[in-house]
Amino acid sequence: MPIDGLATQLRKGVIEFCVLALLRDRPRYGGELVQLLRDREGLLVTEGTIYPLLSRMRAEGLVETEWSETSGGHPRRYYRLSRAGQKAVAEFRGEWLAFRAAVDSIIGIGGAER
Amino acid sequence: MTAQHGDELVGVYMARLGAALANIPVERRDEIAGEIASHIAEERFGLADESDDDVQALLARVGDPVEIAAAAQDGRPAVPVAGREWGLLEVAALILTPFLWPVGVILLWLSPAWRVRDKLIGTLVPPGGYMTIFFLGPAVMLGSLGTGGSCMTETDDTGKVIYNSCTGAAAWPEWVQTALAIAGLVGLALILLLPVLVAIYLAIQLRRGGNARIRAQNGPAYAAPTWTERSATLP
Repeated sequence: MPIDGLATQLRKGVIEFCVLALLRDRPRYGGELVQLLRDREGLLVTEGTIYPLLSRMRAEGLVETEWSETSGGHPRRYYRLSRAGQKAVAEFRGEWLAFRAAVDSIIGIGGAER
Repeated sequence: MTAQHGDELVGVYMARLGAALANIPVERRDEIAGEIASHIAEERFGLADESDDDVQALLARVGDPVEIAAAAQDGRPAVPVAGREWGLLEVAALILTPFLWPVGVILLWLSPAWRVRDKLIGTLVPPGGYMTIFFLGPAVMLGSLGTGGSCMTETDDTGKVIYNSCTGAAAWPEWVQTALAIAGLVGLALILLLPVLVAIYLAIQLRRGGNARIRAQNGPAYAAPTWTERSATLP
C-alpha cells in the first residue's frame, strides 16, 4: 500500500462524521466548519472538498440548511444537524471507539500490546 | 490595497471548478460552486493587505478543482440515479385495475414497481374489479328470484289462519333468511369497496418502494454507502 495515499484513505469516511460532530452544538456556516477542521492539522482537510461533502450530506438528509443574513448584510448558508445526522454521529462514535481500540491494541498503543 | 490580479485569479479558478464539476447535476453544481465562491470571498475579505500571492495561496488551500469534483462524485447518492421512476404505466395500472380489470391487471404485472405479493393482491382481491358487478349482479338477481319462493295463506271468516304453506326460500327459517340478507349486503359492500381499497393499497406500496424496485430491475444503482461499507472498501 503506498504510504502517501494513507492519510487520504484514512480520512475518507471519517471527515464527514467530524463535520456532523462539529454541528452538534449549533448550526454553523461552511467557512466556520472549514476553519474548525483546518485548526486540526492532522486532518489535512482540503478546504474546497468540505462543500461537496456538505452538499451530499444535505441530499442524504443528515444536515439541513437555512440562509441567514450576516451583520454585513450578505446571506450565509447555515448547516444544522438533522435527526438522522444526530443518529449518524452517535453511531459513528460507537463504531469509532471500538475500531480505535482494536487498532491501538494491534499496533501497540496504550499498553495493550501482547 | 487589493491584489492586482486577485479577481482574475479567482475568476480563472471558478471557471476551472465549473468545468471540473460539469458531470454533477446542475442543482448541486450551483450549490457547491456558490458555497466555494462565497468561502473565497469571505477569506479574501479577511485578508488585511491582499497580494496576488495571498490569493494564490488561498486558492491552493481551497484545493484543486479536480479534487473537489472527485469529492462531489465520491459520495454518489446525491447524484440523481439514472433510470426510470414510476409514472404513466403505474398510474394507468392503478386506475384501470378497479375499472377495466383485464387491462389494469396486465399493466400491473408489466410494471416492476410492485412485488409479486402485491400483484397477486391486485389481481385476486376482488377478481374482476368493478366488472364483477356486471357479471355477478344479474346472477345474484336470478338467484334470488329462483330461491325467493312464496307463501300461500288461507284464513277463515274471522281472519284466523287455517292454512299456511310456503315454498322455496320463504319456507326457510327466519334466521336463515336474515343471515342470507346480511351476507348479501356484506358481499355487495365488499364488491363496492374492495377495488378502491386495493387500489389505495397498491398506491401506498408504489410510493414506498416502487422506484427502488424499478431501479433494482434496471440494474444496480448508486446506493448510499454506509460507514461500514465505506470503510470496507479501504485497502
